Amino acid sequence: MGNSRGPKNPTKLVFSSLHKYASPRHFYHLSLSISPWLAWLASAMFGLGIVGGLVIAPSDYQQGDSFRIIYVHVPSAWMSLFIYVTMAAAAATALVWKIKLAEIAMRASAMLGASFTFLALVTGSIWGKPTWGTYWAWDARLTSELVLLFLYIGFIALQTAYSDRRVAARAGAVLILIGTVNIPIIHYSVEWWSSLHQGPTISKLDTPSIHIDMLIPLLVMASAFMTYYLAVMLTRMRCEILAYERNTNWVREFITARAHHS
Amino acid sequence: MTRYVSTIRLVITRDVLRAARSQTEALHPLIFFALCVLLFPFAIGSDEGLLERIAPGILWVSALLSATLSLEQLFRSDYQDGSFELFVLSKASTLAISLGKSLTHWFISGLPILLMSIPLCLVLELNWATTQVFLASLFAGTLTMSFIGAAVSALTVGLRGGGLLLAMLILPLYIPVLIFGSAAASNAAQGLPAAAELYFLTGLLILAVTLAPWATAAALKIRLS
Amino acid sequence: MKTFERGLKACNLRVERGDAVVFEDLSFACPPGTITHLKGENGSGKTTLLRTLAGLVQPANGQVFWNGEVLSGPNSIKTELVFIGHQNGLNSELNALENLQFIAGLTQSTKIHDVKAALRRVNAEKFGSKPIRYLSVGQRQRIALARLLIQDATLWMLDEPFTAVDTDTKRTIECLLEEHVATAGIVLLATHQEFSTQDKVEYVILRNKQ
Repeated sequence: MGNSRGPKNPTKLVFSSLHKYASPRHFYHLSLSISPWLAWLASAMFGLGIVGGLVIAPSDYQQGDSFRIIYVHVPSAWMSLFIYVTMAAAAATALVWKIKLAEIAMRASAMLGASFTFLALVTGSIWGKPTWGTYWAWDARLTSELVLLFLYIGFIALQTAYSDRRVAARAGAVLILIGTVNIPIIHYSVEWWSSLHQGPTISKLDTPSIHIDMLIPLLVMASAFMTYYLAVMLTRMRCEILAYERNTNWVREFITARAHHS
Repeated sequence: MTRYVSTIRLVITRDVLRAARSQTEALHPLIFFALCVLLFPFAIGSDEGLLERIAPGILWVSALLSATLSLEQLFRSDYQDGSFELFVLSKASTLAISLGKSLTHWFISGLPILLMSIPLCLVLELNWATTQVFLASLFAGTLTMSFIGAAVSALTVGLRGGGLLLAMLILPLYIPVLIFGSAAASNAAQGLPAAAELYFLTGLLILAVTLAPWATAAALKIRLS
Repeated sequence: MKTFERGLKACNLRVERGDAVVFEDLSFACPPGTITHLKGENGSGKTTLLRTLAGLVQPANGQVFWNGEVLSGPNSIKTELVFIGHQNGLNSELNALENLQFIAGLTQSTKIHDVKAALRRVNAEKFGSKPIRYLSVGQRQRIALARLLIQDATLWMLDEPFTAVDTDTKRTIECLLEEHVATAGIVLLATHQEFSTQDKVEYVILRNKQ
């Protein structure tokens, strides 16, 4: 008698909570509670990483202190690729299962991905000056990064060209998937091209032996960038959710409640 | 299977007939191609040695730009006259129509570019061996570009920003074709073997032909939403 | 046990375009042998409703059923549909014969050899060989309606078919509709104009949201 029904099936629990949080409304509230934690975590990791990279890590044998820019350059480059892959996964989910949250995640990540790519390019270029003597040397990696930036810009342009948000997201999803198939092709063809026209340029990360004292701050910075991305993406997703659901009751009530509070 | 083939044949016939009827419009990409090539000597001087070295690059970039230019018209009239609804909302297979449209673009753009490049190769004084390799690379390249281009063209037809938006989206995707195509021609110009580059181009072509029509079909449906 | 319902059905449909709600809470059924008139002024969402029923537009809420199954895209309905939208699907460089033959071939019509007869029926035989761009709107509309005779389909969706047609053509259209529903076909018409047929017509009235 009573409410005890025995232990719940764990798989059912996982699926039912996934299903629940696939709804924009529940995801909105969930992300509201997670965001502050992520923001603090990101700040802490940035602090640790910057101190580690600028102060604690030893000077490089060949490059002196100019190598320290890798603590921004490398995580940016990693994030730029990671975000594109995330957008591709979201795109596939949005097209096949038509889940709104996947569309929202994809749209929210685009600007972030473009920004990280731009940052990687700028820091790569700055690093190039002391290392190669010029700001741009048609290095294979940097050139691929540049093409990636254009892919991001194209996606963002397509989103603004369509007037309906959901149709824009579906069109963007197709574009991202076309781009995803092309990215490995572009990467290898640019590498091949670069080896044709000049000697191979080795960036610091090509050498397999990176000292552990230099590696740890790098990993910390990479985690900081990732946490930062998640924090900002969740905020952007919340904005998109409100826009997507602007005609529903929960959004109307939510906004009036917020207006009354402030 | 025969149904697919007949759909493709129907689509190609209709579009080629339409292009033939509008006469001058079909020639525009060709004229642009020739003009584009001829701009380079004006820009960098007619120094024989320099031109010879970059001739494959000039030809390839110009061909790529003209192929991109004609891409906008591929679906434009279909979008405006309601043929899109016919493609997506009838018994016809949208996939077969996508295939047909991609081939159509090649027939009215890629093939003329291929033919036009023969006299241009003469103008830029490429020898016969180089010209052969160049034409082979252009054949595979323009076909690839038609297939990938059709998908992006279907996604952007009729949007604000039109042709420039299309160019912005498609040019990064054309870079691998450009790299291998011009490398093949450059190698041949220097007397080196170009087989590897041509194989890569063929690989890209096969990938495009098998995957792009699906994207085009999806794009047609999305554009109609 | 699921009952097998034939025909088109809309349940609690709600569609949003851009940031506005076009219509909501729309439910109705179009069984075989019926003509449904989607009535409303310009801008009331008739075209959007028609396209939603064809599976082109995803509703924000609610579902469309075709023969008992939920419609998640145009694929399950397109084999039995003739959709003649605002633009009639005729290429302007080709003439009527070429256009209709293309459409007949594309849709594997059994009536591919009857294109001339179809044109005769809609009174368009005289200008069948002129390219569409040289014809008037009314003439083009007649040729577009010949599609109804060429494409074999159960479901007819017509968006403003009476645009710029004269009374004779209007009568022809009404006859075509009557014949179609007599053979258990389904017709959906979106138009702000009135028309009359022998059969009873169901109305779905849309009002402007402003």
